[in-house]
Formats: sequence, structure tokens, C-alpha cells
Amino acid sequence: MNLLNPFNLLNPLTPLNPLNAFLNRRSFLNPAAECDKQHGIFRAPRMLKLLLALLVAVLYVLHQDVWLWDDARPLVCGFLPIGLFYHAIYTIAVSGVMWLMVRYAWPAHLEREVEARDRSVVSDRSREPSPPERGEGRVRG
Amino acid sequence: MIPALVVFGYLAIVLYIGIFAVRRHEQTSAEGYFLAGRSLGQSVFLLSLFGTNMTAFTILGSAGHAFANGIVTFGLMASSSALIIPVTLHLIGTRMWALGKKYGFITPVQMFRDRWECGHIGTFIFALQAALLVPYVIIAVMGGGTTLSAVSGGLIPYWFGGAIVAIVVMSYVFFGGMRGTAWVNTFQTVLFLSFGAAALILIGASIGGYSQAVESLLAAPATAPLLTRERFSPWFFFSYTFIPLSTIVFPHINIFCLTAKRLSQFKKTVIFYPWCLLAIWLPCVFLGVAANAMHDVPGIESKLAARATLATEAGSLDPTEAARLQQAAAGDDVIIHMLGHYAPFGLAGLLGAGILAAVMASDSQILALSTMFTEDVFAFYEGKARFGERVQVQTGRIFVVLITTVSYVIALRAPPGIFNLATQYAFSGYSALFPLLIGALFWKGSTKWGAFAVALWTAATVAGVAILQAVVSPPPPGTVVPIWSIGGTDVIVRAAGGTDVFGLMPVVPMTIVSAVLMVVVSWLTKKPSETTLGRYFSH
Repeated sequence: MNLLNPFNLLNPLTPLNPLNAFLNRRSFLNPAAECDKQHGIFRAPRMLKLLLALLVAVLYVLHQDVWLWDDARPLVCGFLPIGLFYHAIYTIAVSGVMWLMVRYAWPAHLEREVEARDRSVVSDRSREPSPPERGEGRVRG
Repeated sequence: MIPALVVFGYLAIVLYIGIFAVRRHEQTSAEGYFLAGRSLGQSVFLLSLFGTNMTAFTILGSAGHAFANGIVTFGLMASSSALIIPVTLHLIGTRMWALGKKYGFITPVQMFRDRWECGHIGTFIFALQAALLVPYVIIAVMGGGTTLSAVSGGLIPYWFGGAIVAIVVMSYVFFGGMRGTAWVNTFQTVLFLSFGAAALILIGASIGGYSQAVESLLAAPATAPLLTRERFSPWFFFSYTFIPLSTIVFPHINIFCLTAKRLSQFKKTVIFYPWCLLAIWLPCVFLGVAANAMHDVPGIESKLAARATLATEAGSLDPTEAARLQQAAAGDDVIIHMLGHYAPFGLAGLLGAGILAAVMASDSQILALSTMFTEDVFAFYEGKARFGERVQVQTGRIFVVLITTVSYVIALRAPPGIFNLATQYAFSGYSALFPLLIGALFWKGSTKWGAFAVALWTAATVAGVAILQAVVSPPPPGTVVPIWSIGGTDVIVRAAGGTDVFGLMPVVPMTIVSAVLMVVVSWLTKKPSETTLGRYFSH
């Protein structure tokens, strides 16, 4: 790994990433937490998944912005009511949290299960005798 | 006439993409026709999934709702969807994809039948889902008629505009199947994602910026509340967050989750879905609100006059006149009037095509209905075994023609108000079915009888709300008609915008009771076999 490359700091798998530094510290507490470099994913510890769930819950609560309920001003950029601006920023913040969920709580095991099943189906087929030609063996009434 | 010609040019491109551009792909097997061979790539998956979920209601309905209700529209539907939809795609969409890949499911009902070891209960769920999806198709046909009529300056009547949209959609769904539909949706999504920003900039440039328009709205007591949410209770606002739960339950979205080639194709969709919502909803909602200040646009001025009459003379109007005024005040076409007035001719047509792009997203619903019929009914009741897969696909195509024709005929008789029609029936019903997916995918203890109870409850409540709203006329805005009160407390009331239960939209009690029924009835009834459970909960 090139330590001088600033992009390594953004790589979710590198220990230089500040978030991963935290996550790696968590991994001492939870042996299930590890970087799965073979599949290019980070297996999140249970604590992190709970944290992400909590973050989603907080976003759900923040959607109910009663503190801006009766206010139109300030007008952002001179024309955008503050309530509308808040929800536009909120939408962008949601995208950020979704990025975290994709990076750190992705259900990659589902794809591995599908691949494993595909492999077993292929190997089962390879053990079977070759299928008949099209039309051959079809029962005619 | 020039804008109408641009729209017709757009329709020709759509037909070309949907019918001819996908010819080289295999369309004779069920997976090939209904699921594009489970092989859609990342960009097509994101754009098409988003486009599939955007209908007439997105551009026309959102602007119309904002015209009448103000900025609350964005928080009600867009920002809540920005959170709920990606989360459900992440949690449920990915699992549906994996089950489809592993066990060959093409529809959600196939999964329910397998998961809960049931047959006819699956058929009941199919019938309910189909009945709830038809209004969605009707909305699109209505939106098509409205758009073409407005863009052509009334030259194309509503009925003819609706017919043109219905025929174009039917044609490319018929020939192109899922692959044709996905590619058309991708093209349409690109078009209408750029539509919002283009409309905002063009109209803003024509009126010299929006500051003056917004200040004039704030200065008038009648319009100032449109820039806040003071006319809406926080509870009503909260209850709207239940509506986006419907998205992942919609068969066209659920089935679309099965078309991805790899699981990783969900990643960008989950991350960028909120951005797509922002790009289309923010300009539409803002323009809908700003339209209230545009008294120089003739089409809008007449709407404002009708609304003012309704507000001042509501008590003295006879029902026929009140209905006529409500129709005249409906804002579903304000954005088209603004573009017609402020945007240059050809550009207005192009932007009209952008609106039509969203309108025509009904293609996925039509295809989903056809897929469900051929898989959940035709194939399940031995049609596939007796006649073969080729006949099954042909049956699906015939069903596409039938469902489009029926929807068109209903659209000609349906009342105005795209937004309400969609929200009150289809969205609420599908949200109430959400516990079905949660139960099937995450709870071993769920049973077919729990699922049946959920479906029965949903059918009963959707029918109940529909009958109630048909029998009790909407009161003037700001007033309510109590339907059921206990000890002086109103439980169910008929309001101008629909029906409220304890001040909440009906979707909240519908969904909560659904979840309770799933839990209680499942606890009391026999679980599926261990073999079946092992296939779903091996992890």
C-alpha cells in the first residue's frame, strides 16, 4: 500500500481511514469484525450495525422538523423557504447514511449463497449424463 | 402545435427503443420476457428502477399538490421516500433478489406460496395486488391525456391524448417485455431528471428570478401559509412516512429487484436514489408553489379564481357547482401552463415530453400485472405445464393489451385529482401489505394464515375507505365531517383531502393493524415445515 497516496485515506478497507481506525478498534471487542479483502467488503461488527440502525432511526426523527413548522424565513438564496431547504439538505444527508450502510452493512453473504448454489448446480449437472438433443426423447401422444 | 410535434417525436423514439432496440435479445422464455433474463446492468438498473417508481403523480401530481398545499408536499412524499425507499431496497430488495436467483421466483406471490406452503391464499394476494395496481395504470393514462391536451393547447382532446399514451405504452411492453421497458424507462428517467432543473431555470429566467414571486406570496395572507406547514398537523405529516413503505411491496418494484445481474447493482441505487428524488421533486414542488404568484398566466389565473370562489362561497354553492369549481381549481397542469407561457415553443414541447416520460412509467405496472397473471395464475393452475412456456409468454402479451384497454376506459370516467386517487387507494393498500414481506423474509414464525389475515384486512380497509369517500362528499377545505366519534372524540372524520383516523391518514392504522394481525394469527396457527424454513433461514 502506498502510504503517500491520499486516496488510501478514503479506501474503506485501509486502516488509514479514520472510520476504519475506529472499526478496527471495535474488532478487538468482536472477533466477527474483519476486513474480507477477498470479497472486497468490510464485515461490520454488531456494534456498527446497531450504530447504523440508530442513525437511520435518528434520520426518521429528524424528518419531523417541528422546529421549522411555522417559519418561511430565512429565504435561502433569497427565494427558497427554510422548511423546503431543510428537507433538501435532509435528502442529501440520507444519501450519506446510505453510503455508510452500503460500505459497512452490505448483505454480501446473499451473493455468496447464490454463487455457492450456482456452483453446486453446475457440478451436479456435470455429473449427470449429457442431455438429449432437442426433440429427442420427447413423448409423442 | 410545435410542442405537440416534439412530443410525438419523443413518442416515436420511445417506440423505437422499446420495440426494435431489444430485438436481438431472447424474448420467448418467461425469464427472458418478464425479467430481461435477470441480466440488467448497474446504470440501467438504477435509472429504470427510479423511473419505474415515478409516475404522472411525480411531476404533475406533486406540482399540483404543491400549488394547493405549499412546500409541505416535498416533506410529505419526497424526503420521506428518500429515507424509506433506499432502506427497504437495502433490507428487502436484496433478499428478494437472492431468493429469485436461488429458487427461480419471478413474482412475489411465488415466493409467498413457497415460503408459507400455500396455494389459494397466494391467489388471493395476487388478486388484491392486481386490484391495487390498476389505479396506478389509470393515473398514467389520465396524466397522458392531461399532458398531451395541455401541450397541444387543447387541439388534442383529453380522451385522444390518453389513447395515444396507452397505445404507445402497450406496444413497447407487448414487444419488448422487461428489457424494452427497462431501456425505455432509462431513457425517460434521463429526460425527466433534466426536466426539473431545465423548467426551473427557464421559468426563472423569464420572470427575472423567484425572489419577487416568493416575496409576493409571503405578503398575501392567503398565500403566505404555502411557504410554511402551518396548515398541516405534525401528526398528519408523520403519517405520510408510512406511504413509502408501499414502494417495495409494489409488484413492479419487487419484480424489478429480480432483474439485476448481480447483488452489487443495488449499491448505487441505494446511494443515489435520494439524489434522483431531489433532482425531480425539488423543482416541481417549488414551481408548483411559485405558480400561485403567476397571475399573468391565463390558465393559472382561472384556477386561482376558482379556488377563491370555493373559499368564500363554499357554504352557498350547490354540489354540482362546487364539483365544477374543484375541478377548475385542480393544479395538476400548472407546470404545463407555466412552461407554455414562459418557455419558447419547441422547448415547451421538449419539456412536455419530459412530463410525458414520467407519465409513461406505467409500462412497468402493466408488465408487472401481466407477469403476475401468467406466473401466479396461468402457470400455477397448470397452464404452463399443458401449453408450454411459449404460450405462457403469448398469454402475458394478450394480458398487456387487455389491462391497458380496461385502464383506458376507466380513465375516461375517473374523477380528477391524480394525487389523491393514487395515495388513498394504491399506496395505502400496499403499505398495509408491508408486513407480508417482513414476515416472509425475517420471521420464521410467520404463517400462511397470518398472511391471509393481513391480505383480508387490507382488502377490507381499502374498500371501506373507498366506499366511505364515495358516500360522504368532501367538506369545504378547513372543515371536517365526523363519521364516528367516541365520547366527544372524533375517531374517523371525512376531510377535504380524504379520510382521517385520529388525525392520521388511514395508512397508519391499516399498517399497524396489519402487523399485529400477522403476529397474532401466526402465533396461533401452524408453522411451515422445517425443510421450508431451512431454505429461508439457513444463514
